[in-house]
Amino acid sequence: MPWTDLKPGGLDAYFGTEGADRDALWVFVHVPKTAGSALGGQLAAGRTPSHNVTINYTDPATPYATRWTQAVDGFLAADAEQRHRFVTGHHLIRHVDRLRAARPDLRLATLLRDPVDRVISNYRYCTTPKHPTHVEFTATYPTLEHFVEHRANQNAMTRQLLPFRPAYVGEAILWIETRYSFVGTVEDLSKSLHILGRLVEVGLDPGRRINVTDAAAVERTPVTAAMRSRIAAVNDDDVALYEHFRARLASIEGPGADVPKGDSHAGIDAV
Amino acid sequence: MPASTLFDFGPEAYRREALGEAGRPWCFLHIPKTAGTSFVGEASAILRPAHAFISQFGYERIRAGTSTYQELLQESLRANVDKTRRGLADFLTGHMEFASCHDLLGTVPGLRLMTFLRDPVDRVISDYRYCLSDTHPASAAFAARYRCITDYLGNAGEMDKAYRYLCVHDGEPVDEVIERLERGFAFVGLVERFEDFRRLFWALNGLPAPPARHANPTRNDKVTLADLSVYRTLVAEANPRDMAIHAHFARRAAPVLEAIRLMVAEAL
Repeated sequence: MPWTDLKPGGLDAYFGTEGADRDALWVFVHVPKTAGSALGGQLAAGRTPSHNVTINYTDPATPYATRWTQAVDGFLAADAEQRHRFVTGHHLIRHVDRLRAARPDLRLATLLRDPVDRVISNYRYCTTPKHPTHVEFTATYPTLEHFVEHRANQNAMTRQLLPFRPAYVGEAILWIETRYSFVGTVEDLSKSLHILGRLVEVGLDPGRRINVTDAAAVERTPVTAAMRSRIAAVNDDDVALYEHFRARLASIEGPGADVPKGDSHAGIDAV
Repeated sequence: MPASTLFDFGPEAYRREALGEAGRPWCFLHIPKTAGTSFVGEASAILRPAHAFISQFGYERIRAGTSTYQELLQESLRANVDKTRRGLADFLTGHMEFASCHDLLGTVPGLRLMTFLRDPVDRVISDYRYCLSDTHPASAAFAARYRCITDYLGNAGEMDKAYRYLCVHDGEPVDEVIERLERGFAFVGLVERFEDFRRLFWALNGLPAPPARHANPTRNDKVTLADLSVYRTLVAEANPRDMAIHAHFARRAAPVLEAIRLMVAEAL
């Protein structure tokens, strides 16, 4: 059952179908700076066997895309030996056809974030030593403006969620609505994790934070209101996509949607 | 800045006029097999593009019968016109027909229309070979529909394609289409002199021409050019309106071709 079939008030029915296959492979498509590191870690620990698909980011000998293909090959080989219940990674969606061929029971899940906040957070993070290629990154983009104006960095969230180039954002929304089983938001993390936790049968803590950008990086890159407007303008597809799924999540009510008292939204990776 | 300035007053006057309009967005109506993919590739690397196209997912929806080609192309065009109107793009392009989009294009202030024309016989033969090649998304259906080129030439809807891309309604007199290209378009290039015309385009933008590309060439061993050369007369007879449009602009361009060549050579 795809996300589009989840109607307001229909959560119990949705849990009954999407969560019914306890051994299904849940694939978390991790868009950078969307709380994915913290969430992926919790899911990996709670839904075993699990796998984190990643690459050596500093290997100059092999093309970047090839490294991802090889990493997915590695996962598929491991999965053939032992069926996994969870896998996460940044570029898994480009390999979704191969993954689905091997595991027809796969379910796609992701978290979105306000695009302006995500771009700023991503820039700041990539200038810190935590980012494997931060030296090259800072040389390429000495300021946030350089990063924002470069076409390759615009509407990155939409591109990370699709295995094809959409002709317009409505097409991207339609594909995600009909192919993903869960789309949450960082801004409504408590509700998002509550629903996702029910689906994957893992207790998820929205207060857990890792990979948070340090305060010095934040101070180094102040952001004006004009810059925020510019980021929104050049990431117009991401804004439209985010607004659609934010509203979708907000419309979900009924049994199972109410977050138990005590949960907090601490804004993982939100700096 | 009408295209006629080039033909009436020469490339220097044309360039001066264009430079006075610097920054206004371009809209490239891409008639199939007119070197457009190569041109779009180089323009998109330099200008900020907005492409109206059918995605891989779009073709799946068309095959499933949930949408039509025209619906999806219009939807994509609307979104990309919007980007251009908001100043987020300055090179709008796609395989769109003028008749179905001129109202929408009219909503973008200062939009400059452009296109490339090609000898209709060469264009049709290239289009036919391309549609039978594995590169074309619906080559199997095309091959089933047209068992030979004479079948293809017999489909009036596939003939006079340049005219169909540029007219406002089927049946519009060719002279009116030519007049629109002369006065309503800012740039009309000829594929036969593609290198000079693409360099001219960059000169109009005050920019050096990037290295030439050759994208999407037809690779098709199933139907060779030699096999089709005997049909050239038939192709010309099946495309009278395109023949008239191309002949007009070939005739108009002839006196200024050497001046264009010299001007763009100076820019090297």
